[in-house]
Amino acid sequence: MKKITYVLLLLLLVSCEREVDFPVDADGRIFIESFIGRAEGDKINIRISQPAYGEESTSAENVSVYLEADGKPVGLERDMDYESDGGVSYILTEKVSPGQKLRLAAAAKGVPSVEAVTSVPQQISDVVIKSRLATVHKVEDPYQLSSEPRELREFQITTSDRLDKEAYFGVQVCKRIVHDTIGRVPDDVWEKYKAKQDLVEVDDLYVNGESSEGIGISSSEEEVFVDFEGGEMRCMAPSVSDGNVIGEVYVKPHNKYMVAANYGYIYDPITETDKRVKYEIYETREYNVKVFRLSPEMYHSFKARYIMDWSDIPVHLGFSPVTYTYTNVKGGLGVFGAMSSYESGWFRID
Amino acid sequence: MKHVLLFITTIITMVLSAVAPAQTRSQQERTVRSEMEVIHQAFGVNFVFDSSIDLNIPCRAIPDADRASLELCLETLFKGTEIEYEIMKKYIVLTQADKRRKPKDYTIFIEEQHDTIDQATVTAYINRRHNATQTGLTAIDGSRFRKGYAVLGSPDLIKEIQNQAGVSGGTELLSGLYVHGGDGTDNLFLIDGVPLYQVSHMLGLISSFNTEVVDNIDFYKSGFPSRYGGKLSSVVDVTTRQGDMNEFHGSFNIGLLNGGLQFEGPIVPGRTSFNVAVRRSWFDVITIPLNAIYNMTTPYGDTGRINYGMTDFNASVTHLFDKDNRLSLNVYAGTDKVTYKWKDLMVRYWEGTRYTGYSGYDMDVRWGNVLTSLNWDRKFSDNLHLNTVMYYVRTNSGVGMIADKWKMNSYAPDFTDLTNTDRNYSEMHDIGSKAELDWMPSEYHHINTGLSFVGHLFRTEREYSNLKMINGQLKYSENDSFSNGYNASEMSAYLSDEISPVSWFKANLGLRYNCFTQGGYTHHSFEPRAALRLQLSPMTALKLSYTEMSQAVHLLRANYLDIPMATWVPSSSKVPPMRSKQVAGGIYLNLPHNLNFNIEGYWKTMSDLYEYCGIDGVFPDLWNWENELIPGKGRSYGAEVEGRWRTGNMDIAAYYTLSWTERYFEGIWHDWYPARNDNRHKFTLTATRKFSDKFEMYLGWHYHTGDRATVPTQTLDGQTYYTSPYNYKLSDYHRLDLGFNFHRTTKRGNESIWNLTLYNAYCRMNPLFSMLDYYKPSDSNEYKLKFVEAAAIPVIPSFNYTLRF
Repeated sequence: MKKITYVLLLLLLVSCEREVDFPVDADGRIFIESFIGRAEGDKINIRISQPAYGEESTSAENVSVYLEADGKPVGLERDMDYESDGGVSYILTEKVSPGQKLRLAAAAKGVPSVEAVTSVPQQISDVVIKSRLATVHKVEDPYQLSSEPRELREFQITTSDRLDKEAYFGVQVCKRIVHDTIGRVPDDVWEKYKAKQDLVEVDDLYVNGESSEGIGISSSEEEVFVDFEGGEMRCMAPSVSDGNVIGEVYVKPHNKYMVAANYGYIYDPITETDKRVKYEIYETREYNVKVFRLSPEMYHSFKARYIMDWSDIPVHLGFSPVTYTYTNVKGGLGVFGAMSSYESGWFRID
Repeated sequence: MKHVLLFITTIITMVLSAVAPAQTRSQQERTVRSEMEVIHQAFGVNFVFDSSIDLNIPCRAIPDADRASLELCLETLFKGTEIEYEIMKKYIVLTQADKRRKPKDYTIFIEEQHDTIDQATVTAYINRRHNATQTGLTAIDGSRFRKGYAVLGSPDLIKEIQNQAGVSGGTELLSGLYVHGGDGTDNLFLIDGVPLYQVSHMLGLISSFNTEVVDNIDFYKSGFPSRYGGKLSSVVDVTTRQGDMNEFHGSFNIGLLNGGLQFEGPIVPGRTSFNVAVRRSWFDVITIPLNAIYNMTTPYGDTGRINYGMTDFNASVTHLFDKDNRLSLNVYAGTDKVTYKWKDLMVRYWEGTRYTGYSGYDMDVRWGNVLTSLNWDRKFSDNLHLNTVMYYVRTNSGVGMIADKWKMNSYAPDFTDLTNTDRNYSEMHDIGSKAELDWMPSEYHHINTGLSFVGHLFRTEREYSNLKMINGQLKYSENDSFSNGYNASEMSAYLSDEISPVSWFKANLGLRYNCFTQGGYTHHSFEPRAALRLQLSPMTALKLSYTEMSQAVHLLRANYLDIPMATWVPSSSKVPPMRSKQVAGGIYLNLPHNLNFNIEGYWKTMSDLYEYCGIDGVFPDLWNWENELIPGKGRSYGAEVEGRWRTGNMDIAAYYTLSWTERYFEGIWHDWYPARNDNRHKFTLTATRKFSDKFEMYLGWHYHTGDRATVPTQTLDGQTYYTSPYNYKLSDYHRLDLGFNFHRTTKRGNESIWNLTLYNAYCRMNPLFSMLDYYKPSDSNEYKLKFVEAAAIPVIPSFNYTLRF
């Protein structure tokens, strides 16, 4: 495959080139980024892009925004904590409901007005989560091969939602380190482990790209370990079995193991002396499974970004389908989408 | 006003003679026409002539046919008249001696097509187009390819069709066919009624159709008769020539890219004949010595070898049981093969010891078709005809790649070998049969009906393995294989009736039903077809047509390049068949002085179109392909103007298209956007001039508005964004082709043709694609961005030598 890419690049080298006028846009565009239904809160982030490779950024301060749900206005409040170079953010002051049709309009002087439409997906129902140990080895770089097969834990997530053309799902599994103790742990020792316990690890999630994915998106290239950034939602598309939606996610298994066993001293206020105590600390993992139902706009936006990042042939050469240009913001850029989500809460696997 | 071109045969002559009052053959009553009748009956020859020739003139008595030769009779008959004659096998072609009035066009009704006179046939098709009820029909005679001009030294059927109005050719030099806004995968190619899927060799440089065996081509871009179905946008119906029943002859040709041999003749004279043709590329004649020279000159013992080979083979055997029964067996097999091998010598030292080995890369790519069909023609009466075909078609492509890293001949500590193997293979088998009945119950009806069934078997396989060896010991192995298969079937039934209640009006009304089944999925499709023709005058016809088409097999491709990694897949519940509806209409003029002029307009909508949206740029995802297809719709509309003027030595044709082609894919864009081949204007001018019997010249000028490209026009935080798909129009495309034919007669009396062609004669560097690139100005240390259009096709001289024997 790479060789073929090289042949294409060779063609580039030997081909004649003619420099032509760049098709410069006269104005910037309003750039919308909004995923209604996120656990972090419903926000509409707005920025203004620059005509091709402009250096100066334009402030979105003067952009006026209007949002309506099923034809009725929805209150918006400026988020003064939002920090972005020239960008502004608005928080929805009212909750929107599943099934509602949302219409967003924005306008500013000097740039085209924009409009975008999305619908809030229905809630996900009857989620059942099972997990088991699975042995797989999928690697991208053969030079990093391990001779050992890779053991991973497979989560199988099933919902009773019927899958249709307009149903798009995503699955994310987060894990965190937690510590169990036996005996009383001295405060200074516990502080060290407690700090670690608060950390939510969302890395090293393995996506099984080989499964039949159903309608949805892969969150990464199929044969690579994904580096999930904290808080960023990545979706894996589910498969379908007997009309149910099934998602599969693999994570590296971690057995509960002892990280500390020692004697410490705890101040006894009664005797006013340090008392020698034995304690043990065990480290284990807890998991939190999130299932998202996405609006088509969100799905297509993620998909476009995914193709842009990972396409084998540079997309701009024009030999590939233009499935990377997606936006549903008419007159502008970005995406205005919505989602509903189910969260299992943290749980352990014995 | 009279028709400029009339169909006249000896049969008509006989009829006229029969109805004429009985006359004694006295000197006073003897006419050229009556003597022609005598010659016809005595020698079994037919006369072909223009109706403007006055045959009712007195003439001398011909010699007694029992004792005189045909030549003597003809010489006697036409001596002293202004009529010239030419004997062409069983036909005597009559022309006016006055060259200014010499008719150039003949049309004959004959059943024995192998005796068709080339010039006569061409005219017949022009008339046929005018007289056909359907819109959008272009009939091309196979002899047109055997006369000379050849792109890259190889006459090409598809490139000829690319010249037609309403057709975009896509990427330059390749065999793309984007008809009325189609996506290039929606053209029905038929060889003797059997569908062919892989229609080009050399990654699209030349088409799979060997023009030496092509008899004629019907190309439909609208107004599809109900007997055609299964694809959306066009029909290319190729009929091959059956072998000569009486004489052996053939041809040999060699061009810039390939050469070929064709041979035909009788097996049982008058009963059974064969026609065989083979083509082969001869790149290897060049690449084998070049590879050897290169390998001898590499300093470190590295070796490389690249090779390409193409062959195709056509064969047909035809047997006439009697005048009403004909059986023919047709075979086509075409294969392309690319091999690439590379080895880098590796030398490693470990504790003073020298270890050698290599890193290598092997690639083997093969693709092609095999087609075989058995065709039985049964003529029950002059009004009832049955055609039955059974066929098998296999289309396959396979890509195998093996990469070795540090493959050591002997092993030193810590030396690691890695071998990566990747093999993709896909094939499609069609086993089908169809029966078609052609019935003319009266002069007012022409009924065409038929049944067809085809079983599709789709097979895809992929093998992947990784081996890791350390010190010669296998330390890791990973094998993954995958195979997928679908069985599908298509059953079609169709019926049409061409009704002509009055001479100036014809209506061809038809319906096609198609039932596609794959697994548990069944799709029923009813496709109405209607075409109307209003003959306003002998010169002028108005036509209107409405057609619906569906397509249940899809070409899964990760890019628009014509590479063998694409594979055919069936429709399913997630990927329903594509559909199109098209309305077309126009005015068709046969003007005096051999001028033809047509104006046609069309409006076409398409639904359930698909774009591949995986990240795979070369191999489409065969596991999950149903979910990697984004559905959408398309529309195309425009007008086409065609003009043609022909004299005896000159043939000038001009085609102009004004069209719009757009797509709407919700997963790509929120509005209609232009398609990649949305070429607003397209103009083609072709001219051939015969200066003498030994020299003729071809000129072709091609222009179209540039293809569309998608370029980022907005930026935010270093990320680029697009304000719409295909938002940029590449520079306009134009080129001039020149061809020269030198005809010679060899000492043995055979015809030889040297063809020299200049493709893109004025070396216009037409853009293939556009891209953003960085450059460093001489007066600055900072890189700047520039936008360039890249071109790769300069002037290409080529030759073709043909010997006919």
